[in-house]
Amino acid sequence: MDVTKILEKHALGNKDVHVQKLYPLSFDLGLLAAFDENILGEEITNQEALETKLMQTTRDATQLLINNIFSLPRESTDDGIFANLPKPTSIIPREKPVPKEKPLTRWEKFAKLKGIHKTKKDRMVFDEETGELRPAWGYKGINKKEEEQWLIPLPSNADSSHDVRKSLAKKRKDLMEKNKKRQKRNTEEAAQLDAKKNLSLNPKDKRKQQLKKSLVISKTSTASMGKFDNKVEGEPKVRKQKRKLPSVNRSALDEREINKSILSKLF
Amino acid sequence: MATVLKAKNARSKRALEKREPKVIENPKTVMLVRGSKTSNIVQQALRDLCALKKPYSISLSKRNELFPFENETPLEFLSLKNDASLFVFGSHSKKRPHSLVFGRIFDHKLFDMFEFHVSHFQSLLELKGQVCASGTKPLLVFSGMSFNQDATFSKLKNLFLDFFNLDNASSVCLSGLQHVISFTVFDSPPSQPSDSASSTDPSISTSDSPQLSLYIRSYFINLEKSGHKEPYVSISPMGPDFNLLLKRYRLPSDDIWKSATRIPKELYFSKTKNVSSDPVGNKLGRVHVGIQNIDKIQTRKVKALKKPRV
Repeated sequence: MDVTKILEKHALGNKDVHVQKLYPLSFDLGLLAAFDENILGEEITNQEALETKLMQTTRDATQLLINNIFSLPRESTDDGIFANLPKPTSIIPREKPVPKEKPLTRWEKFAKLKGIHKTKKDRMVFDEETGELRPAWGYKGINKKEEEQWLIPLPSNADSSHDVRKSLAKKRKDLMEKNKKRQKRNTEEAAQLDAKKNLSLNPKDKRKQQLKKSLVISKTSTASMGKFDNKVEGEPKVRKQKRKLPSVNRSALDEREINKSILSKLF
Repeated sequence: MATVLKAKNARSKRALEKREPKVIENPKTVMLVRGSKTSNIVQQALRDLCALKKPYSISLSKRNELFPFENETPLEFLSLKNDASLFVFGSHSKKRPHSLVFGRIFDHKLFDMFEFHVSHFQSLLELKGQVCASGTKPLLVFSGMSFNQDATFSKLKNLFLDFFNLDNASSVCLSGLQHVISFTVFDSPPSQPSDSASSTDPSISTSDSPQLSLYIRSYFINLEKSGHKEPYVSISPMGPDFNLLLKRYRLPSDDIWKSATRIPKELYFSKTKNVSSDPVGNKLGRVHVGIQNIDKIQTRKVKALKKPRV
């Protein structure tokens, strides 16, 4: 049996996926990027030679990058096989600053204290009388159920000019008003808190801080490092940094390292 | 933002919420801004870049009379309006022919930008060959030592990594790896000291390295069976291709860079020290016990061990 043909076919299909490079490439698989720091040589002026050179280096780097991506852990879904990428290692700036923490409202503070968790309320409420779902508020809202009835009993002490429908609607509107007031109070309190936090940004305080800073600098600018200067009223106390000396009983290994570093500085 | 916008209805409230700063951010959108005067090359380049970044690109193809290096406020305004944090500005003049400015915007303030002269351009349309599907995440290849050694080129690398990072996807479809963009800078010849052209504005720098070209090439990837686990890669030119010469650039100051790269508290994971687990799944802890004070330990009370009275 002649197997040479089969072998030849097999050899054709077997293409080399390994690429030899002098310096190994570095990768950032989170961004699907490869960094090739091998020597390229100086610029090529011949257009055709340039293109082939660019294509060759790119192909090699792409092969290595794809080899790396294919060795990542995979997950197969209906849409195809996915490779799970690691987190990017390159530092990429954000587009907007990190979001600020929002101050808690009175209710949120209280809920936190009491350990109350927020549960999402359904907007649609089941109306037992008619047996259908109705929105909790808004158009055809269930909160207007009482005032929309075709017949409403009058309270016994009501005078002739009393409008029941109107008074019920007012009750509902008052609740809305109350909530709006609370919202306003929360925003005001948040603003006050913000102002307190930014007290140091007040120009007067800013100047004060600056003055203190420059005072400290000027004190240490004399030959005696401010030892014989007259004290100024309200002068900030400055702690001197303690001088750190290497410990006496350090290990021989450490000592050798230090001596080596001194030697390397000398020669 | 200078003024705090307040939503008047639910729809605009939702729209504003989408634009708010977030812990995990939206993918960055790029706006492609056409200058007051543009050449064919520049216009086609803008169109091609728009196509490459497709779901996350906005083309501002009307003539915009603005000069990013002289006054950046109009660009910042456009970024605020379009909620875009990347931009490419294309223009053409006698003094600066075929110029493209790539840049980034942080918090609706200019972050960094690089101006290039396009010395050679080949469009997506000119190159006849296979083209990847729109919206494919490209592979990026940076070759050349300068990207690691030269300060400006390493910043440029960062810009392009950001620019062509389509979305912050955590997984990628293996059959969707169709597109590779390569950035190449050849090694600089043994340098002769050259005087950098001094500009009037200290924040704007001009490229003082002997003119090195940045070659951007974009290829279609063909994955062929190789008999191994990994496929054999063959590539064919797809376009757009650029040869770029760096002209003027502006880098971010250190404190802006710092505030832009801050990691939100929520994304930090707390390191658990001295806790490990064995292959069976048992949790193991290493406990450190302080030095015992042997002198003060209460042992058996025997008369013989009593301290003698002085």
